Amino acid sequence: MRIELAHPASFGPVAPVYVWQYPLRLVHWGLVISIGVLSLTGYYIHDPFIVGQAHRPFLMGWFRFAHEAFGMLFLALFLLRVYLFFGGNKWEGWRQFIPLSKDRFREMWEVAKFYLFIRPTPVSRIGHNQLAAFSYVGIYSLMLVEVLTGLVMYQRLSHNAFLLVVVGWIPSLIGIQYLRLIHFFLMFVFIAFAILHVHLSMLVSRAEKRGLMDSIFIGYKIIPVDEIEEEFQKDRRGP
Amino acid sequence: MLSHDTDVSTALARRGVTRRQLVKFCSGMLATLALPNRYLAQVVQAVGKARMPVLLWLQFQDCTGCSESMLRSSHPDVAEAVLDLLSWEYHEVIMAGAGKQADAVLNRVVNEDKRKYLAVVEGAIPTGEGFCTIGGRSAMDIAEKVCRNAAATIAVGACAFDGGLVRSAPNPTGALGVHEALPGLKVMNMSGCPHNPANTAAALVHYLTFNDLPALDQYNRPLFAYGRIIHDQCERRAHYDAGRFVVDWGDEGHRKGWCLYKMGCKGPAATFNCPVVGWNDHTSWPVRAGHGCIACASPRFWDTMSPFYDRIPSVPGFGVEASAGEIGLGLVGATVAGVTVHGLIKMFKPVPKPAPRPEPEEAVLTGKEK
Amino acid sequence: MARLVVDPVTRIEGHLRIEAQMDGGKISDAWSAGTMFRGIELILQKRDPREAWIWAQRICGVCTVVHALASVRAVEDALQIEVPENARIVRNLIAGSQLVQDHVVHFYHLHALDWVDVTLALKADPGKTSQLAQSISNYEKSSAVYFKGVQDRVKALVGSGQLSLFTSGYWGHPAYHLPPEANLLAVAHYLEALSWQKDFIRLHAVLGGKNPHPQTFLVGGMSTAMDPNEPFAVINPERIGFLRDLVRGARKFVEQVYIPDVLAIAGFYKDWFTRGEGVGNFLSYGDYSSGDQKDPGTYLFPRGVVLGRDLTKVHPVDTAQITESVSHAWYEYSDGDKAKHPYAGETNPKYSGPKAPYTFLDVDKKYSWLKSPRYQGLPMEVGPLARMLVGYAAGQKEIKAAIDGLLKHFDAPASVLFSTLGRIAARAVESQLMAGHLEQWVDELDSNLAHGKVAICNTTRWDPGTWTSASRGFGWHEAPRGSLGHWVEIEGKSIKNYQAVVPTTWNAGPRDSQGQRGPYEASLVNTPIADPDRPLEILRTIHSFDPCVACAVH
Ligand code: HEM
Ligand code: HEM
Ligand code: NFV
Ligand code: SF4
Ligand code: SF4
Ligand code: F3S
Ligand SMILES: [Mg+2]
Repeated sequence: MRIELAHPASFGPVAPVYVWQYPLRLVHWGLVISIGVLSLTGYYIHDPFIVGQAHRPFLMGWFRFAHEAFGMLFLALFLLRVYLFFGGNKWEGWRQFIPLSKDRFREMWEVAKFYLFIRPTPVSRIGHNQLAAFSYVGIYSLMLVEVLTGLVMYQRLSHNAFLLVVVGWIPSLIGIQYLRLIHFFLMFVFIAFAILHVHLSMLVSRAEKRGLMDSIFIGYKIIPVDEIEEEFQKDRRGP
Repeated sequence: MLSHDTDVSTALARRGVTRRQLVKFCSGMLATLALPNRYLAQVVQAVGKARMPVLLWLQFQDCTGCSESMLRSSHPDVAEAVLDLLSWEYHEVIMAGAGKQADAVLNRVVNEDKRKYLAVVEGAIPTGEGFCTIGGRSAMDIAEKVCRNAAATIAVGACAFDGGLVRSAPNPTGALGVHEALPGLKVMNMSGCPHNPANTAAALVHYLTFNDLPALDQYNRPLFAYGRIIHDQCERRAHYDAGRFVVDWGDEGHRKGWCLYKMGCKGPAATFNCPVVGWNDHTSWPVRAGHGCIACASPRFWDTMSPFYDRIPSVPGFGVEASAGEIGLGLVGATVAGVTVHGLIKMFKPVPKPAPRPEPEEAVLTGKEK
Repeated sequence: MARLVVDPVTRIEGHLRIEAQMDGGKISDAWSAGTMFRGIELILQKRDPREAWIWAQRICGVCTVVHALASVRAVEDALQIEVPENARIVRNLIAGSQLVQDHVVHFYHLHALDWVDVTLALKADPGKTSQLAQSISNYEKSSAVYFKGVQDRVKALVGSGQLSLFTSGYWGHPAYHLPPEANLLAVAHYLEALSWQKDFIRLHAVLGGKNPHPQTFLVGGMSTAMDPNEPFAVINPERIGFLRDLVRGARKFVEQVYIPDVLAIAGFYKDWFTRGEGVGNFLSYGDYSSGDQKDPGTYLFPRGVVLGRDLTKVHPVDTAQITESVSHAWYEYSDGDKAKHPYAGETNPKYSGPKAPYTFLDVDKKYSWLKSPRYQGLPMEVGPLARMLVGYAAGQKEIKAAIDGLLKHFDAPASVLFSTLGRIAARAVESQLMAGHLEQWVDELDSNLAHGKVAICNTTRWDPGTWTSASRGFGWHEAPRGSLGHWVEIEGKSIKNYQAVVPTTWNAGPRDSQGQRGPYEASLVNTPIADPDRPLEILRTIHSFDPCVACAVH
């Protein structure tokens, strides 16, 4: 394969590292697609912008069916990702996401400095940089909220007894209309996130030239060998 | 517990009701209660009791709409309800006596009929001082005395259920619903603004028959009336599923009876049985009359279901000035703008070019070593 | 000298307390107090003006719809919206039927027991009762058998020892003058009216989904979509047929039952033509337009003011002359005690009355939740009597004919109208007028349907984006109990201030800063009280106003 030049900061040989295994990439792109579909169908449910005619006998019905079907897909992918937090490789594992040590927080600030043009070079990690990782924790949590609010609404429509046990308690804490409001508003948050996320990923990818952008498609990043060594040293030493 | 004297025939005779009238009326009740016919005998017997149970109807921070609603009862006919079914001895809006004489009724029944009479409450109960007094006594005081000594208490209407409109923001009088004002008191809630007399009458008969309240939901509302979503019973539902919506008042869809979802109908969030029992002797119900449902039987509906012409509530803090959609689009817009600006700055402030360095030999390591 | 207290005043809407100073068997002074407050004017602030009517409607469930109507009119005035003709007609129909139903219920279920001794009905001879009935009306339910049935029902009730609603009445009070037959007739019609009112008001269910609190008003019109060919249109030929049956039934009931009963009963109580006079000033905003709602010339009930019982002169109404004083009401104004015009109105509740339980109010200070509305600084009586007097003085043909007919029947001068019975008679007369007009509005809707005129709502201003940044408006209605006004101030998309000045606020309000009594208070002065323990006379005069305190205070 053609290997890009590594960043000047890291001389010496480089090697491709298989950071994102296919289940994670499946989750990622699955989520991207379902969020797209759910936003479209969800928006229609919120404000039916096409008013049906005689020859469209079941328009809202279909939009809601699609929304609920993709909603379930979304739920499945989400659960798969939760599994990967424990069953995935080290770069997918939960440790990567929770800033457990001081220098992790320092790293976040370093990344921020790069985005703010205070620091010329990005902070390069084999997995996610700490700031990105942390933002992903945020977005995953919001996905959980979306799933729960969605399930509450779904339960009220399907009268599903099992779901009643799972999410039935929620509406007595927050009124159904406010759950709707949250569910609706998060849609915009996801869209905003996507834009920002793609922009920053591209930025970093172009700056560090180690195939970040490609990695979410093919799974590999190109990492200087000594950096890999260093990382393995750390692991042997333990956290 | 209510006393049961079951010498039906003499009782009826004394009350000038023929057995046929009674049986006819009772089978009507069974229908509303969704009870099988085998209960008929039991209902007839209970309703025909020689001594009618006493009912005291209290009015506090109300609009008397719930009393008026009761006066619209058709099965039983209001006259049957107040003269033949129960001894309706205290109800300010229509009782004969006033002042002292009215007050005397309350005292007499509370003392002589302890735990035997039914208490009905209409209206919210204020916690602030001076906002509701009757005969110089506070609403709270009267409620404590009358409800705590009753066989059962029924809260009719949103106001008595959870404070209703009176309790909605900013709740100027510190109003509360009955079950909050009288903690620990067992209350059956007939929510709605007003309550639907068809349901209340049925619940009353159920109580008289079985000496017990009908099955209640988590808000102590009878399941037979509050167990289903309006949206699932609505005659316009087919139009909803087909995406045929009213988009402007008086438009073609409106004249054809299409779905009112886009006009803010809260049917999808509302639990009540209006589409089935209807109002005013099954004549109609709000959605049939061309206006959206405002979910008037739902908890705290005034604050949680408004603005009534929007599908979802306004974002707390923004009032009706900005909708969630507007704010959301604002958020996305701001992100796009931010990203663009950020990108532009980036263009003029590029990262340092990497210095030329020798081609590396073939990779010696892969992630797999782990 | 004893202080009489009637609290609760029952057979009215709401929480009213009357304190009366006795002096030698007569009332020398009186105080009227509303004892319940909710704060709906405050609750309306910051909300969407388009839905204000849904909230304001809950000011009262007895005169339900009237606040909804005043509210949409106020907002339409602020946003400068003209409603389509059909909306005007449907509103007239809904409000007009409210007025008729409300008046009948008031006479039979809220007022009659002040004049009718239920227990005396037992002494009546059904045969004679039947003759009496047939002598005053050709209403078909008038057989001896029918009255026997009613009498048996009353007997059963009394026999059971459980008198239900009638438990605590002033039965046997010396002031009851009706012969047994008249009592039985009245009791029979009490029951008739009880079932009639619920059947007739299905008109509100057809046009509003339910009653109380019909749900079909809109800023800009009504939600009662019309279509000559659509089975699911709210108003279509089939529904028109139903409406027509209902309004015809109402007219029949008013003409064959209500009116004859009022005339008959009043005949036995002529002394009440000289009692309960009140303040002698009468106000009517006017309403029920046959064309442009903004043009009083088109009103069925004329607009005007009558001052000092002078029926030779009708003064124009200038709403800028309306103020509300709180010098004897449990509120405080940000700038002292000066009375305020509703546009500048404030609602800052501050209870300063005695701590419950209490026996007397401190009537020299603040003693009521009602504010004191004044017109040109004067207390005004509003309601059916005010409307009929203004119409009479203004020479409105129908009203003049009806009132002259009434005076002829009792062969009495117009001055008898300023009285307790005068109010009762005026209410009956106006019910008859209104009942006569309902069918005409149904016909107008019918012909508009036939001509494909189906516009029901003007939605050009529905989108708040089309509103000016700030506006204010006044909406009024002649409600069953009198002149109702809502004043709204809109800023941005929401309500900045909302003030309602309501019929019963006018009539039942406390003294003002000048110490002028309100109409209730004035009307009680000099009323003789036969038995201070059972002050039936107080109920008679107070009930003649048809109090609604939830309305008055809100
Ligand atoms: C990113 C993911 C999602 C987005 C953007 C989204 C968006 C929306 C929106 C905008 C609405 C309309 C809310 C309203 O105005 O009433 C909606 C409704 C709904 N969503 Fe989602 N949703 C998402 C995920 C889900 C999931 C995971 C589920 C279920 C597990 C779900 C189930 C529902 C249901 C049941 C409704 C109500 C449909 C109805 O009222 O008939 N949604 N969604
Ligand atoms: C709704 C849209 C999207 C969401 C919610 C989303 C979310 C995420 C999440 C949660 C991760 C972390 C993966 C993990 O470890 O769990 C991630 C990584 C990544 N995503 Fe997305 N993504 C979206 C769209 C996209 C798009 C459209 C692209 C590229 C065209 C993209 C490129 C990437 C890349 C390059 C990474 C790895 C970045 C890194 O290591 O920090 N994403 N994304
Ligand atoms: N006063 C009054 Fe009403 C009337 N009529 C309102 O405007 O009764 Ni509740
Ligand atoms: S619930 Fe509604 S109708 Fe009943 S008293 Fe309260 S406001 Fe009036
Ligand atoms: S009108 Fe309301 S309740 Fe009926 S289907 Fe439409 S949204 Fe549901
Ligand atoms: S507003 Fe209330 S009356 Fe029924 S239709 Fe909706 S619940
Ligand atoms: Mg006011």
